[in-house]
Parts: sequence; structure tokens; C-alpha cells
Amino acid sequence: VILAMFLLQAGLLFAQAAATDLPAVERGAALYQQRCAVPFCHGPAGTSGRAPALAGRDYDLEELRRMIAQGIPSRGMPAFQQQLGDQGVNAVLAYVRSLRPIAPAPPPVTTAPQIRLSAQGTSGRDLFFDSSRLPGCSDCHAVGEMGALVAGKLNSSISTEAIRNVRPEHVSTAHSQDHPEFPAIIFQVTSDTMRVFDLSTPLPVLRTFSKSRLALREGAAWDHQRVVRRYSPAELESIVSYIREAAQSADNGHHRH
Amino acid sequence: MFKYGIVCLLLGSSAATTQVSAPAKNDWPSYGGTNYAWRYSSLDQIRVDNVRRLAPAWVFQTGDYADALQATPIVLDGVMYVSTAMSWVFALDAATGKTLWEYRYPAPQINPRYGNQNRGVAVGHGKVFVGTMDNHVVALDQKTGRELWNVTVEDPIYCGCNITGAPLLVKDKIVAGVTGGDSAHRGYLTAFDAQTGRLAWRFYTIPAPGEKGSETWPGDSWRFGGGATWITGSFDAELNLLYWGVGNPAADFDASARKGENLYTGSIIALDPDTGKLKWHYQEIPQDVWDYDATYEPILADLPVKGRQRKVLLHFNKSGHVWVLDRVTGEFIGAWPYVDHINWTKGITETGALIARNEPEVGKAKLICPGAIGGRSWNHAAFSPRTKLLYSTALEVCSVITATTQDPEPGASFFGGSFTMKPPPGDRARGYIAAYDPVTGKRAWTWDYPYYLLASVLATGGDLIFSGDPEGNFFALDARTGTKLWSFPTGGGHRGSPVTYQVGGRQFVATPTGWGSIIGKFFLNLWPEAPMPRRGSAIFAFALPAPEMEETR
Repeated sequence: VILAMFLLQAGLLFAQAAATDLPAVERGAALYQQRCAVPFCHGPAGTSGRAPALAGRDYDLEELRRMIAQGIPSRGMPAFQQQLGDQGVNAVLAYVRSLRPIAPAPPPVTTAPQIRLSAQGTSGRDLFFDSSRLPGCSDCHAVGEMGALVAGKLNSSISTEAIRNVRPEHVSTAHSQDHPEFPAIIFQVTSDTMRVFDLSTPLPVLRTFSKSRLALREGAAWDHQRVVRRYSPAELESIVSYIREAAQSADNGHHRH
Repeated sequence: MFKYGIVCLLLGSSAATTQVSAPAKNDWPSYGGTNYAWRYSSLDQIRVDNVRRLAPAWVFQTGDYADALQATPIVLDGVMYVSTAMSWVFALDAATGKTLWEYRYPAPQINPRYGNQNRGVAVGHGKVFVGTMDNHVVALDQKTGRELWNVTVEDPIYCGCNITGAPLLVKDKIVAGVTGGDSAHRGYLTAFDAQTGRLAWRFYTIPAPGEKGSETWPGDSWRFGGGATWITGSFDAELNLLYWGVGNPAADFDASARKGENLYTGSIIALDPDTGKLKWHYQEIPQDVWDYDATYEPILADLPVKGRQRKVLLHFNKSGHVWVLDRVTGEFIGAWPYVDHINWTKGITETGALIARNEPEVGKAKLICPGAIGGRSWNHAAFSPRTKLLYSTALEVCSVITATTQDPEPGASFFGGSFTMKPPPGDRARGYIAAYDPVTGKRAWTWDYPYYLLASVLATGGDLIFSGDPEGNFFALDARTGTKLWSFPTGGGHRGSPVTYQVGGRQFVATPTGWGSIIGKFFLNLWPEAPMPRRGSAIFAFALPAPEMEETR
């Protein structure tokens, strides 16, 4: 038993030492695969197992942090604060927030949800999805079941302040010998590939690299402000109205038909 | 043998001096055969005098029965690349049908408005490019089928659009069009860097306020004006011009909110492929109100016109006319009818103007010919440089159209009316394949079929025309007479595009088979006696028996 504990400790030390250069999401991915992915818990992609599916859920950040740190004793979810420390909890948090829904599929849809939008909400919707604003909001963000899942799904707690103050916590810099650097968001890490959204272009590209051919470092020369500045204050207000109205409608169980 | 050698030599030299890249040879490298969209190959091992011995060499079942197998297979260096309705992609050994790799696009969580259809891939730069039913463009590793990049063109629900056509590889860029001509949507063409998937340019088929041409769209009608780009364009490398057909304006049948010419709908556009800038446009039908897409394939050929050799663009429009344009300048050369029943206009003048317009009316049912499905569906024509003839399927079918006024809702259906299919007045509904003089439209022959034809035609150097019918037969006609020479029952109805290629000295003719398609459903009432076309999803590859192939070498 002592030998086993020693090996475990050594392994952890090694993992931590090797992990210090990696961005939070990637460290989180490694920790997640060790601690959370077991088949009878959340599963390797956050979509299966006996515990709730995590992928694509728009958890409140603080609530999720609390659940990881303190666990949910009544439901068998362990507390990870002691094992992982603040840095580890934050890393797992970052990774879980990056998980995209893969399954199960909601019912197929052809048309937009029939939501009664205010006049301001309607003009906000058309700004949110305007294909000639490159990039536009919907090229990265989803509201309800529409839009892209490059960055987080937006909910009714949105405000113009929040939009202006987005910090690029989840954006890393991808670099390698073969490619010039580009700002990237991790989508998926498998045993041999790294899948990242390339944010250097108005329509984000999900690119797949061999793990050995792409490295990531924390932080990026990427700025949400550059996009936000292209909208007037009145336009931002309209967009916020749309997000609130659509997200509330989605929360109230409105579904597309 | 000596005789054939001389013929080949002559053909080879004439091809070299005129259009090097026009006829396909051993491979089928691009959607239309080559980027000139002839759907012609100079291969002539299979000929008029031996085609009756053509036999299946292999069959490949894709396993994807979501809709018809509509693809044009691409063949390069003995490997066939084919995509299916659900945007699955297969690489096959083109000589044996053996699977080299397969890519299964994850099933999206939407039902696309324009159905699950995929007309093919583009191959180059070590990659295979495919558009998807939920509006992504995906690049795969040509050797392994592994995904390299994947980009969303626009939210498919908000735009009411998606990708059903094959993307076109033009130099270092991959160009993709979208559906959405019958949706409240503003159409465009998008080019991506082939290596990285990064956006290169986007050309809107409808100008925004302030841009040239915007005066042809009153109010905010430009935001919902359709102008889809759903069929693959062509490319002339010598002129460095990318040609694309732009579909109908929306609302389809009611122009009350879009009084004006509605540029660049119903037009052929010529773009600089490096920048996406418009070099010229020619509008075939200003302010279309019949759903006559001008999005079908632009065929690029060099032909004598009134004694002068000209670089022309031949274009089948749904309206029952072929437009002949000068592809250097966009100048109108002529237009000729390819079907018998046309009543939406009395004709087209020598300068390209419409003589009278018989328009649908709000609240009134009117018989319009050709119907809203067109004098032909998207399935493609072929041009043979040997016979100098243009070959196409044609449909004698009309529609009763009733226009309605409708308010646009982004991404939602925006027809501004409805239609049902009807036989032409004083005639029965008919389908046929015809051979036309490409400049004058004079018919050399017509091959009649009792029902409707919805598969592309293929022309070969063996003077054969191949196509398939909804009953499931794949057949060969004599390119000079239209006589049926050979037929093989594949089982599934034909809604795809056959190709030919050569591997190891053996010529193959391959066809997708397997019914589906939205259009096919419109015809069930018109031909109640026609057998119900069978679904399926397979590639049939045919070749001459091996010993015979040896004899002809």
C-alpha cells in the first residue's frame, strides 16, 4: 500500500511538473480524463455515464466551480478541492466549460423558434445573425439552439457591460513549426490529435492537428473588443435584448418545430 | 491500330492548341469533368461498336439511404472520391470498388430546408473538400480521410440555407455556394483558403444599399431577395475568371415588394477568383417571377459563331432557354429554346430582351410553361467536341402558379405563392434527351422516354451518351443518332451524374444510383402510370470484359 501511494504521488508530481506550461483547458482535459471521465461517472466526452452529461450545458461559472470543489455529497459527486487545489479546480472548470454537445440529439428542426420578440429584440436578432458582419455574434455564440458553439452559449444574464468586458480567458495561442501563430480555443483533445478553433479569421475554423505538431501557450493577442467596437451602443442594446428574450424563451421550454 | 493512332494524335494536337484542360482524359478531376464543365471524356475504349458488351465490374453500396445518391464521383490516379446524402465521403479503389477510407460526417441536429442532398466533393492540395447539409465546408486528408478543417458558412436555420452542391477548387481556394433561393435570405458565394479553411472572400449576389446595383432593390427587399448559388460554377484558367449561376429572386412568384431588375439574381456572374470582385455579369431574366433559377452549370467552349471563333459560355436556364454568352466580356450572343412548351415569354430578341412577360398573379391560378421545376432540373448537360453537339435531358411540364403576398421572416420559406404540376396544353407530360447545336439550338436528334428524366448525361470519345432513368436503368445512346445501344438495370432510380475514367489501361463508366430528391416527388401525380422509383445508394462501375479490352488496345 505504501509503495502504491508513493507511485501515485510520484505520478501526480510528474503530471503537475509537466503540466505547468500548458494552458488551463489542456491541463483540465488531462485532469478530467483521470478523475471525471470514468465510464460510471461523466464519460470521456462528458456525454455519457451515470452522472449527468456535462457537454454543452450552460452552467453558471460559480455554481460549477462550487460543485467541482465541494462535490454534491447527496448524489455521490466527490469534492476535488483538496486533491486538485485552486489551480486544478479552475483547470477542470475551464475544460468542462469547453465541452461541446455531441449527443444526445434534440429533435431535428427546420425553422427558427417561434418566439415573440420585441421590436428591439427583432433588430437585435438580425444584428446577431447578420452574415455581412464578419465576424458576427452568431459565428461564435449560440442562443437557445441557434448559432455556433465556438465560445460559450449565451444566457439571459447577459448585459452590454458583460459584452464589453469579455476577457479572453479561454483563448490560447497555437504555435508550431509548420504554421504561423494564431489565437485558438480548444475544442477537443484526443490521444493523438488536438482540435482547436482558429480565431484568426472572421469565420472560426475548427482545425485538427497531430498533437505533436501543435503546441498551445496561455493567452493570446486576441481581443473581443475588436468585434464589439464595430457595433454602436444602440446596436449592442438591441443584441442584449434579443439574447435575453431568446434565452428566456429557451429556458421556459420553448422548442422549435 | 495504326488508324486509331493517327486519330488520337490529331485529337491530341487539336486539343493542345485550343483548350488543353477542357476534355477529361484518364481521370475525372473536377465536378464537370474539368473546370470547363463539358462532362465529356476523350476516352474511347468503349465505343458504339462494342458498348453492347459493357458489363458491371464492381458495385459499391454506401449504406446512406437518407436521400438520392446525387454525387458526381471524382477520380484521380485510380482513386474515386464520392459523397452521399448525409455528407459521408468514401475513397474507393476505382478499379475494384474496395474502400480505402470513409468519413462519416456526424449527423447534424437539423432538418435542412432543402433536404439531405450532396452532389459531390472537390479534390486537390492533398485534400478532399465537401459541403454539408448543415452549411459547413469540411476538408479531409486525401490519403486518410481524417478531418483537417471544418468551417460554418452561416447558421443554417437563420439563413434558411445549406450546401448541396459540390465545392469548386480554384487555384488555392475552395469556393462554395449555398441554397436559399426560396428562403428569406441574401445569397452569396464564399471562398476559403484551401490549406487552412480561413475566409478568403465572400461575394453577395445581392448588393447592399449604396453598392452598385442596389438601386434594383427597393426598401429592405435586398435582405430577403434569395439569389442562391446552389450549383457548382466553372473556371477558365486562361482568363482567370470564375463563372457562377445565380438563382431566382425571392419571394419567388410575387415581385410586388421588389420592383426593379433585382441584380444579380437570374444572372451569370464572372468573378476574379483571387479577390471575389465582379468582373462582369449578364442578367438573363430581370425581375424573375417564375422561379427560373439561373444557377445551372456554365459550360465553357470555344465555338464558331457566324464564322468567327469565340470563347462562349453555354447556359441552361430553368426557363426552357439556353443562353449563349461571350465569356470574355459577358456580351449576349443568343438564346434558344430547348423545350417545346414555353408561354412565360413570347421569345427573346437578338439583343437579349424578353418579348412580353406572362406573369403569375396574386390570387389567380395561371398555367405557366415550363413549370416551376424548369425545362430541366439541375442534372447536367454534356458537350462533345467530336460531334460539336450539346446533350441534355429536357422536360415538357408546366405548372399552375398562384401568387400570394407574403411577409419575409429570416430563414423561413419565402415563395410568395404555390404551384402544382400540369401537363402542357394539348400535349402529355414528356421527358427526353436531345442533341442540340450549341449556338443555334437546332436539334440533331431526340430520344424519347415515357416519363421524366432527372440524371446528368455523360459524353465520351467513343461517341456515346450515358445517362440513367427513374426506373433504374443505366443506358448508352449513340451520340450521333440517339439510338439506344445498351442498357443495364441497376435497380435504384437515377438522380446522379455518371463519369468515365481509365485505370491500368481499362476504361470504366461509373454511375451513382438510388432515388430520392424533392423534385422527384412533384412528378408522381403527373405520371401516375410510372413505376415508383426505388431508393438505394450505390455506385455501379462498368467496363468491357477483360479479353475484349486487350483486343482493342
